[in-house]
Amino acid sequence: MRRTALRSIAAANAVLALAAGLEAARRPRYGGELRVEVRAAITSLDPAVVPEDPAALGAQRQWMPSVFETLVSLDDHGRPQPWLATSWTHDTTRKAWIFQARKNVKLHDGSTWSPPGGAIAVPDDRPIEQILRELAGARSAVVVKAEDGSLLGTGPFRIARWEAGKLAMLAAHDQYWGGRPFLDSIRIQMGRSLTDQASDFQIGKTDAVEIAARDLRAPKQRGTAMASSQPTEMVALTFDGGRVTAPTRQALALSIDRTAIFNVLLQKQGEISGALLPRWLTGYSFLFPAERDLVKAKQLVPAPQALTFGYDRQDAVIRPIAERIAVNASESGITLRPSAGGADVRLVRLPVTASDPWLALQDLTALLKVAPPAPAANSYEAEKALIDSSGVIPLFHLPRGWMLSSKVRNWSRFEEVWLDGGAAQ
Amino acid sequence: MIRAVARGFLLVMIAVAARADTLDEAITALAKRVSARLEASETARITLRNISSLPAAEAAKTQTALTRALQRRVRNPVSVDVTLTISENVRGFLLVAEIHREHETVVEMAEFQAASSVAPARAPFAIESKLLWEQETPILDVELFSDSMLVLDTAGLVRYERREGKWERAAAVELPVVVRDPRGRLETNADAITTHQPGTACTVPMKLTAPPQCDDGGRFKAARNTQDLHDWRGEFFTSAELGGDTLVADVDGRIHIYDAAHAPQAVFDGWGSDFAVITACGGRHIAAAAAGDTASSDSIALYDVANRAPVRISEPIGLSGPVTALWPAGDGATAVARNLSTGKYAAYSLTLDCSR
Repeated sequence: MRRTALRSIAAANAVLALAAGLEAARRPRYGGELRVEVRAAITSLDPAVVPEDPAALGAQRQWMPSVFETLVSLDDHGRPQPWLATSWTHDTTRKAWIFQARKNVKLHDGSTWSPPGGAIAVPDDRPIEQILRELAGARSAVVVKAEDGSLLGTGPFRIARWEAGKLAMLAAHDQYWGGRPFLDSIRIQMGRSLTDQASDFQIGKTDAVEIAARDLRAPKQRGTAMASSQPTEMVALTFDGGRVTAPTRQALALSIDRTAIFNVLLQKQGEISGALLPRWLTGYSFLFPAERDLVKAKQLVPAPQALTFGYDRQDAVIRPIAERIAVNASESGITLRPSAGGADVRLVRLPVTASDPWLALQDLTALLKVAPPAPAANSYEAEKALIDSSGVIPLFHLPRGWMLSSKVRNWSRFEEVWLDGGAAQ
Repeated sequence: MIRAVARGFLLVMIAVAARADTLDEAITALAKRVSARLEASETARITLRNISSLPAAEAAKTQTALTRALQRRVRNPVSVDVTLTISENVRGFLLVAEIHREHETVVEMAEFQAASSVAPARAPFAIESKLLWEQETPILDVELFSDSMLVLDTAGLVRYERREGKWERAAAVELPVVVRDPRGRLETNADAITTHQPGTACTVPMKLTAPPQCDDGGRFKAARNTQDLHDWRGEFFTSAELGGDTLVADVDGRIHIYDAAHAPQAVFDGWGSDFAVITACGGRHIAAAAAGDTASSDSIALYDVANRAPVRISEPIGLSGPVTALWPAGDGATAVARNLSTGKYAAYSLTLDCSR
């Protein structure tokens, strides 16, 4: 029998859909250690610190909510719901919104989390929708600094061991207000290449590894358990130093044959996009053009141009796409010369970190290292402004894929995952 | 104070939800915004594109409604092309109007949510299900009497009484459960109710007129979703006796059959972790949950055990979501399912139709 979800609302950033491993309605089993390997190398535990490395930011946003929680959480539909705050009211006298703190919430050292007066006041100088969104963001997570300098949270898992960029050991928080998680512990090995992860998975050294989007079909055919997310990773071209003019950027965008890359190199996984945020999140991504127009591209580049081109040559997903883009660009008169150091143009993967467009754009703004756009009437206007100010060229949105050992069940938020001791290893 | 807080919360939630209008409201809002973008002499010529899951007929109606809402009488009208796209995102549906002019395209949007049309499935064959109760808080067990009903949930125990054909809350005691995948069981006699929840057992008078007397122990293991009666079975999810054998849904996820001497006789898969013996139609049968056709719903079917192997003797009945509890009740069973479209927990009475 499937578990009763004590927390009926789901994480903002996981958005995972189990693609395999579904079976008869079984109750979850408590206990065991989940071993996970990831490409990202998170160097700081503090959720207020935004990592510069996009992969690290994506990973941090995905599993840090299991350690550090927020007053408000976003549900499956991106709508704010009570979390560490159980309710909120407006106090006209104080010109503030008063958030009532949930009672009997224990920090990871066993002490009680209790804000003064049992409530938190937030000035009402902006709309409540904006306040709720901000409070649901990872940067607003409740983090308490212990006397020894360690960071304490309230989430279902506590940090048991931490080696920055290498290893995180999470242990079940027995006094968690929402019920102890099923797993006893989670071992997350960071900074592992996809090749290393695949090797470790083959020899049974790990339970969950990442898999490139284009390979999502292969293990399925072999019957391997796997999970994939909605498209939550953007492949895009970014520009450093402002040396590339707007017409050249536009020509580059128009020269890329996204359809061919999508069909062949990405094996039709994910979606072609000219938008920063994927369609499932906004519904309006079609408003951003993504078609190839070589004639127009050539018109925009009257004389041949050469630009240095940076990308991670160890990244098996990025490298073939980069090589194809270089070929496409040459057809419009732009030569992209691979560069190991600084580059005019970079092909990167950027994470979509939240199920709220505004929060996702906030993280993208930080990663693109541009000033936050001026307040916009809606997220479409904000997204358009961010594309204009950063010059970024979105290309594709890709799902994130995982290969799972046969004992992993209910792959979603860590606290909902359980290990089936009876499954074949 | 609590009421004031609750009221404040309600106001907030209404304010947040106001973004997601009905289709009619969204059309009105979009028409207003598009209209504000049109010059006095301009009229909109709308073309439709539906890239959402909204049925084509609904989409066509939307186009007609927007066209009507934007109708205006002007002399020498200038026609402006407006592309209406019906799309959807994680929050619901989206109407996008692109107002095309020679040198620019202006975009306006409005969101709405489609009405839910999901209804609980009915038993097609031998098992009959009847909805007893539905609520937001997870239901652990329900016991029905002629004019009263007990509902054990993760907040406590509530007694309802039937008055003029309606169930009215008569009394309640707080017995909160904070366990992932919570479980609970009601046992009653003429005078008292015993509740079993993880790590504790409580006794209260039948009318809930006195505070509960609670002790550590009971049938469920503390902070877990398993039963532990401190006997030969150890920790398990569900157990039932049938024909001299004992069936145990073990924590390994499989069903084990033991004989009267507690010696293991057989093991099989295919059932969920919960089942209930139903004594009806001249025998003892087992109602067991299994995964449904989709990832989001479970089904319950009736089985006999022949030669220590399960034999299905009814068509499965679909429920509105995952089954979260299944207990024997009188000559039938009580099942609880979480409706994934509403998020509510629904308790069903399951009985057998012997005439089919």
